[in-house]
Amino acid sequence: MKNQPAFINTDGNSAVANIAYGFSEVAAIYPITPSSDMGEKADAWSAEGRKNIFGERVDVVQMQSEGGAAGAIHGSLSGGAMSTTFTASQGLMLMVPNMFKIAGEMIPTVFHVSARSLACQALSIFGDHSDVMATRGTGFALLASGNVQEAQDLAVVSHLATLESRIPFLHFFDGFRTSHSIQKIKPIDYTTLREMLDMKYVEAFRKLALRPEDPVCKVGAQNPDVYFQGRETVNKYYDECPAIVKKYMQLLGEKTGRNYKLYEYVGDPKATRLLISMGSSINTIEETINYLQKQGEKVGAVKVRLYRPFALEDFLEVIPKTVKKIAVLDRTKEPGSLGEPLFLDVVAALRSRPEIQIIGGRYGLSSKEFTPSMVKAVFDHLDNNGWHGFTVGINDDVTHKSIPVKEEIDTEQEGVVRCKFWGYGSDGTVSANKNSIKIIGESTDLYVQGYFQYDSNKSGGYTVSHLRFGKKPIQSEYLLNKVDFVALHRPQYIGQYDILEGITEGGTFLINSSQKPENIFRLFTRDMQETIWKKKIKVYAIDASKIAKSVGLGGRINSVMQTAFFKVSGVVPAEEAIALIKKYVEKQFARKGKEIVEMNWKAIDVTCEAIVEVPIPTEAEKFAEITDVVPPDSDDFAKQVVDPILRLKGDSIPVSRMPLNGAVPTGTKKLEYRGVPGNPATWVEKLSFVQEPNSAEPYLEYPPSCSGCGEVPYIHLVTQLFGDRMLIANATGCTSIYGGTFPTTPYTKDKKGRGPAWANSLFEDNAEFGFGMRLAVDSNRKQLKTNVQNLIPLLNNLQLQQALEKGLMNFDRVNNETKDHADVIKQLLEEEHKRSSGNKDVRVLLDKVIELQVYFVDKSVWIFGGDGWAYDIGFGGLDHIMASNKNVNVLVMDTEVYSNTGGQASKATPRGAVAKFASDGKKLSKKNLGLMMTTYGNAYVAVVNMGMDREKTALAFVEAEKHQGPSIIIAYSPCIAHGYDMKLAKKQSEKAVKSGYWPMYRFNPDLRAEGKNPFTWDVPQLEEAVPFKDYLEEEIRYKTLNLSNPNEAARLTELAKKDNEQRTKDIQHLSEVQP
Amino acid sequence: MADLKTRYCGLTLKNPIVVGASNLVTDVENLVKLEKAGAAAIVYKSLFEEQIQLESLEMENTHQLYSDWDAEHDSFFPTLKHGGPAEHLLRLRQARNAITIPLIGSLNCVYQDTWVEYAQKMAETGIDALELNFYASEIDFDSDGAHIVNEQLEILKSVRKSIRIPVIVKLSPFYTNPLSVISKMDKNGASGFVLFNRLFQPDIDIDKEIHHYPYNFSSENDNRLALRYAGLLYGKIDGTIISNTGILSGNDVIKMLLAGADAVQVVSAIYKRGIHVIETMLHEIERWMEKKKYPSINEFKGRLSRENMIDPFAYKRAQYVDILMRSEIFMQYHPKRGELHDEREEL
Repeated sequence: MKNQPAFINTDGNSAVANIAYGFSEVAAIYPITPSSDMGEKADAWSAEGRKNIFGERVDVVQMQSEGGAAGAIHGSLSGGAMSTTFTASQGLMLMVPNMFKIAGEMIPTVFHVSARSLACQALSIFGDHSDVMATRGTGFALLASGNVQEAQDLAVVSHLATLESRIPFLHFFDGFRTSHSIQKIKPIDYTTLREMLDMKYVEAFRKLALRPEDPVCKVGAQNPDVYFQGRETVNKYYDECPAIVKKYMQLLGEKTGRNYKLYEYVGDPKATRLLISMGSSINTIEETINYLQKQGEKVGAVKVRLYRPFALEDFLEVIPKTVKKIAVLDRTKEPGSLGEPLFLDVVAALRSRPEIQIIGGRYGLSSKEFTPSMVKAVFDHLDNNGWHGFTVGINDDVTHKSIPVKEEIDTEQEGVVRCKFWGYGSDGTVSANKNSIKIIGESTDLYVQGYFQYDSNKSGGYTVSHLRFGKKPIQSEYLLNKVDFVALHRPQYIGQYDILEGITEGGTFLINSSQKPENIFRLFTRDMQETIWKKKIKVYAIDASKIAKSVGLGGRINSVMQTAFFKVSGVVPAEEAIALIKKYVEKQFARKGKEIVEMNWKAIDVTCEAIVEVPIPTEAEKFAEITDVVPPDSDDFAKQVVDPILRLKGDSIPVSRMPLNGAVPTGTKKLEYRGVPGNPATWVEKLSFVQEPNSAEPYLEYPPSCSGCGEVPYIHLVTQLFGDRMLIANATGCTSIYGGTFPTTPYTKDKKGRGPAWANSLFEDNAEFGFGMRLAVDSNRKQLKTNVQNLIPLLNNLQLQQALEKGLMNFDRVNNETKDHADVIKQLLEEEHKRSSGNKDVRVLLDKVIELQVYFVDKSVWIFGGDGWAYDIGFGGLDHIMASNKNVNVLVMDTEVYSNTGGQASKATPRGAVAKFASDGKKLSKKNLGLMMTTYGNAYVAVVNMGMDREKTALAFVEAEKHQGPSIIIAYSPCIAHGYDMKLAKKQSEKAVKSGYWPMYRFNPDLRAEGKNPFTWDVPQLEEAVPFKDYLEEEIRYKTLNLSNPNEAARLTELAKKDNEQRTKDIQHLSEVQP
Repeated sequence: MADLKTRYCGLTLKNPIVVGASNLVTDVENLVKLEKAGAAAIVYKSLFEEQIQLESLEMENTHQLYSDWDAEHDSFFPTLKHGGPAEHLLRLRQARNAITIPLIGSLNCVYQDTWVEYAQKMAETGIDALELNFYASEIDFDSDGAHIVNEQLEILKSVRKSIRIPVIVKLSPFYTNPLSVISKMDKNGASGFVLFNRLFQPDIDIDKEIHHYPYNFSSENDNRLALRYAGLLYGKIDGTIISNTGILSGNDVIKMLLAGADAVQVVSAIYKRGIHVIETMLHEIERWMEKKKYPSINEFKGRLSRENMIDPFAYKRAQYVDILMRSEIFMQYHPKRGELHDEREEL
């Protein structure tokens, strides 16, 4: 770590991971957005042999869940290794039991948390403090950071303070806003860390390790006589903790010149109005206070860093005597409480200052924007005898708790240049912008900040990059609302998005367009044209695709647009900017050969020459219309909810328009997309074994998965088979994100209004969740049966009696006939209901049967999930339901990697494949989940591959559904994380089978009852097998290892071949034995 | 039985036919077949640093294709570094284990430090010698000849210092004076010289107006340059002389040996006629030696080298005039000048 640069450009996760790595010997982790990067970085560093401050490589292990990670950390700490973990949201929730235990045992550790919303009415991957606040009773110290620099620095303080105080620390910073924001910070080298650490605390920690040489029995049970007293033994440590944190903050100040306080006051020393908050908001608040002070306002704020243990004296010390009113801002919600946690603490802390009026409010849930204008609104609210329990940043038109944000203020530092880029999914815009930040941050004195927004639809979505460049450190922890430079990489966005929103007077607009310069102005909407006229915007154009092709960059326009940005944005004078980028290119490609450098230089020169200034006519007859994003004849939900969200104006949707429980109507994805709705499995109609065919209408349309996703065909198939009577429990993952992200869903209904009913609970509990659905269906069917049996003898309607009797007779059969009969019963019940008068008993029974009559047709309960769920985090639950006798059907879409969180290895990852946490190739073979599940004997098991044999796949689904017990289908699912063009997925799926990698078989316990062998081997006899090598060499996940470590690749390939042989042997022979 | 043994950069080969570096040898099965067919040694396909550079660029680009798609995944693959020559070394090791005859590595790098680094790594695989493939296809107007030669000498010296196995230089004929270059290299540790490298020369398709890259097999008359330089170098350097290019038959080998080469490398012959061509060529040499009653190669090696020629003009520019004078057109007009023919014709 010698020659550490004065500044680095980094995101919060990397900055924190670097410190955690330095202080740790063991890290046990589990991927979860937005903290995954921290574990991945640590793993990558460990893999490349990087040393911690003690000169050792850190052992980084991925566990099966966060619960597992916390358990492993607890064990590792008990065993005497300094251990850490990284997590967020539900992951943190799974760690809570262990957190109580670790804190109860007073073991030092640091958990680094990129704070994220908890799943309530819906999950959100974005940032707030609801996860952290749910742990405040665990006994962990809670230390909050507000930006990337702080996150690095307070990570250091956490690791040092935990060792001396013995109290475990949870160090947190805002998910995405800090974890993913790239900022220019001053790094700390490991030598300094080593100097700051007093080794006597490490020795003291190690001394507590479990050792047979000095044995103790740690933590037995305690009874009512002593548990309470035992609990009180920790008090003095908590009393002493704040002083220890303070000590290390001071030490950090001495070493780095950056001074932190437990509670830091900013603003007018004689302020009358005060805000109190923590996390990234504190920087925005400070920026606003600086602005308001210049306007003569007597305002201030307290930045809370140490939230637990709450240090009363230190806190009181920073509250000015002059303060009359305080608003406490919490980034969490505790429904039904008198106030959110920080508010309650502040109220309790200020009992000695009864003259101060204290109110609390909520802001920023799920990374909701928190801007200077909102800060001002809160001060205004305080001014107007503000009431408690407000919200800011939304429009609550139901309970009217939101406060108005009246004016838009620009509080940013003078001379800051704000640049916004509209990009397209995988066009490389975000990568290029990250690169630009690096170039400018490293080569100039400018401070930088980069934050990136993405569409949650996985294919063809937008990206918006928000970049700031300033002469002073940037405090603006919010999206750009004033913009000096706008780049539009995809002109098709005109008319849908408000491209020039917030552009400043004299700003610059760069558009990628193949049109002639004189024809470009007419491409803009009238609003855009008027903005350009009114604000005297300079407009530049470049035909990026053409240039990219001409200079050998292929279809990727990012480098061209990046150069154009350097040339016209004015962040750095044009000539200097081009020199910077050339120098960078030279450095980047130095070891890639002179030709590559020259090719890139040429691309830069060609780009510079090709940028044209767009002539702005004084008037324009032609302009682009605002695009209809939902069809004009749509319903209110589409117009009032879907439409603004698709225009990126969802922030404006008021509370009244939001559903209570997060539910949306199905059949809504068509509002977003046009054209071909997908590829429903209409071919199933022709299959002889399909008893309830429905080929006419799809139950899944426009799934916004990645293009060519290998999961979608299975969903098409299963919904086409059972869609009109299907309940789906969907584990969190890709399928839940493209299957159920607000406000639209690709699941849809037929002309009878029937279709899959879908819900997502969590990641880890999906088997149990679906199992519960089955229990409910069974319960309702049981009730229906009883009521029908009681009703029949009392009826005076032969036709209905006979229909109900037939219904009972066929109660457990489902085919088109029984479905039609259910419709007949429905009709007859309605008629009877109209006719029926007198007898109260009959009336009650009839009403009950009508209420429950939908259950005449049994429901098909499906449990969808990926391999991360089925093989790892959800395996315990899956195992349990597979060992039951309930009729549930599990579909595991096995992509062999955690696809949704970005390619971490699961127990389904095959030997030899590269994945995160298996960067040197997965060492062990794929878990044989199918074979394991056959051991219950009662469970139907099928391992299928749609690309190889869709009919056998369909047969498996039909058999699984028919089986009156648990069923599981493990489905080979090509994924972009395998690293090849998904257009080749079918071919590759065939190779998977023909090379002996992917077995296809069915285990049907119903056959055993018939005296037959339950195993059927479905791999066809091949005249010539495909060499395993041919399968491997198509996919980056395998090819990469050949390039990075060919010796290991060769070794693992050999072992993988043996795995294939063993797997085939294990299963195939079972299909050949006599029952 | 004629003794076909010959020296080869400190090694003793059972015969003078060495299989030159080419794609032929990347398949272990081929290596075994070549050994069986009688090849005395095999030069493994060159390790080109440029190829590693491009592969590593491609690897980065491919990984980047999957980056920054979505808020939840910045990337799909772990950050991995290209293993550099690792794959080549693995194949080289496999090749080494597959055959018992000498295996020679071949290397072409861009940077001086990688020449040394890769040379060391290749030497560790157990190869018997290393060929430095000075494959220079200059497109730079500013680097002069002396600079290029000095650079190559520096590379040779540092590689020589860093490994123990013999270092052979394979070079192009395009130096102002190849003899001087070879002589300098000879004095600076080169154990042998391969004459010469065939340069990459794309053709142009005039219909499509594009470059195309046909297989450039050498043909019969391509061996004259090597023949001439073998003759010039014989007896003048310590290093082994290895002729290359256009050696398609046993007779071609004999010619080279007569001129002064110690051994030859063949590639095109195998591509054109199959692996068994080696057997045929060896047979031709043996037959000729028996006919001529040469018990061993040393008996006739270099007989027609410049050093052993009485005619001082034999290797001079006059050769050109000589050839002209013997041409059909010349003879038509000056038939009587035929007396200039010397003993060479009898061969």
